[in-house]
Order: sequence, then structure tokens, then C-alpha cells
Amino acid sequence: MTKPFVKDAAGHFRNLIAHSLREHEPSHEHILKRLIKPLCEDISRILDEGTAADAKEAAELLSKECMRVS
Amino acid sequence: MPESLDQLFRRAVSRRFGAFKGSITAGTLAAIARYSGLEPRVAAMATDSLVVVDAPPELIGAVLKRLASRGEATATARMSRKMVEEKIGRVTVTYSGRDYVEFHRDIPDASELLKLGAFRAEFNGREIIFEEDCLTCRVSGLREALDVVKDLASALGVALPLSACKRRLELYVWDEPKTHEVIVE
Repeated sequence: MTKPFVKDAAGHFRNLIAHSLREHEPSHEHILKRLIKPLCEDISRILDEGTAADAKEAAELLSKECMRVS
Repeated sequence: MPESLDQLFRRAVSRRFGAFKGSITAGTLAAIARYSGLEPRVAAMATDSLVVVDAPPELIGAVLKRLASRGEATATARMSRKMVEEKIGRVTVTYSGRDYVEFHRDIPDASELLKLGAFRAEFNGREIIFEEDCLTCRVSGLREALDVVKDLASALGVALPLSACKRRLELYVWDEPKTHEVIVE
């Protein structure tokens, strides 16, 4: 069962990728506050509250998102 | 573009090229605004898997109401259970961590969750991510995504060339100068 904070990390990473595809880039503030910082909090939570298996699953989910844009 | 900047720009151009008020089109001003990096009031993108909307709360609320009507949401928020319940009422917690909670709640529509300020939710099989004024929502195809952006555009008085869109549509709306741009792929 995927932990909620692992799903959060995948969702926020997908969100970051989606914004990068836009013709007009969002402002630096928007990128930092709405996209990067939530993802940073997810990564911290995985390290603090997750197991090694959670960390591996998070990396796999992020990798799936990477494959969609490669 | 702010009125003062518009006037300064016109003055500079008129000195150099002899241009007067009215000779610079709204389109030119819009282009200047875009390339000077002026943030649009509304930015929306529709693809075959996602709708992304950066907009004021009232517009985001309307999009969410359309996308997700009554049902049980499973959501996460970066705050305590107490704070969640102060904002949206009683919830059934399924996971809690440091200033973090996952919960279930039956809600009339997903716009109810906007009171949290930021969340990720699964609602009727759909994933929704919201951060302040930035909404990303999974959709089941381009047609659904285009319908969402079409409703948003019509609320703003903008007509979209939907039939030309095969992969992606982007809509940007600026208030100053009042203009918009639609990019269709």
C-alpha cells in the first residue's frame, strides 16, 4: 500500500513537470512556492517518516514521470 | 501593464519614432507585457491527462465544482488534524505524521477542500493537487480537459478554437493590459 506522502511526492513532481511544459513560464516565486517547496516537504517526510521501501517506491514513481517527458 | 508604465513607454516611443497614443495597438502592448514577464491573471493548460489552472480562488472553485461533485475524498494536508477540522469540519484520519494528515471526508464538491489552502486529494478516482492558487487535476482525456478550460474561458469572455486542438491547449489572460492569448497544438 503506497503511503500518502509518497503519493504526494509523485503528484507534486508531476505538477512541476506539467508547469515546465507551458509556453509562458510561471514566475520564479510561483515555481518555488507552489511547486518546489511542497516537493521538498514530501522528500523530507519520506526521509523522516518513511522506510527504505517507501523511498524506493517514491524514486520509482518519480522515474515514471521522468519517462513520460523523456 | 500599469497605466504609468504604458504612458512612459508611449512617451519614449513617440520621441524616437513619432508614435502617438492609439498608434500602438493593444496587441503590441500585450506582447510587451508578455515579454517583460508580466504574470497573467489566469493561466490554464489542457492535455490528455491533466488540467492545470493558475487563477484567483473564485475561478478555481468553479473549476473544482465542475470536476468533482459529491463524493468521498481522501486527502492529505500539511497541517494537524485539529487545523484541518477547524477549516472543514470533522474528518476520519487514516494517517498522521508531523504537521501532516491523511483523511477521508464526504464532501458536497471538491471546492470545499480549498479552505485548506493546499492539499492533494483523490476524489471519485481523480487526483487533485492544489497549492494556494494553483490547481492540477487528472482528467480522463483531452476532450474532458478542453471542456474544463472552455468553461473557464467562457466565464472570462474568451472564445477558444477547440476544434483545432489535437494535443494541448493553453490559455493566458492578462488584466493590464486587458488581453489574452490562446496556444493550440
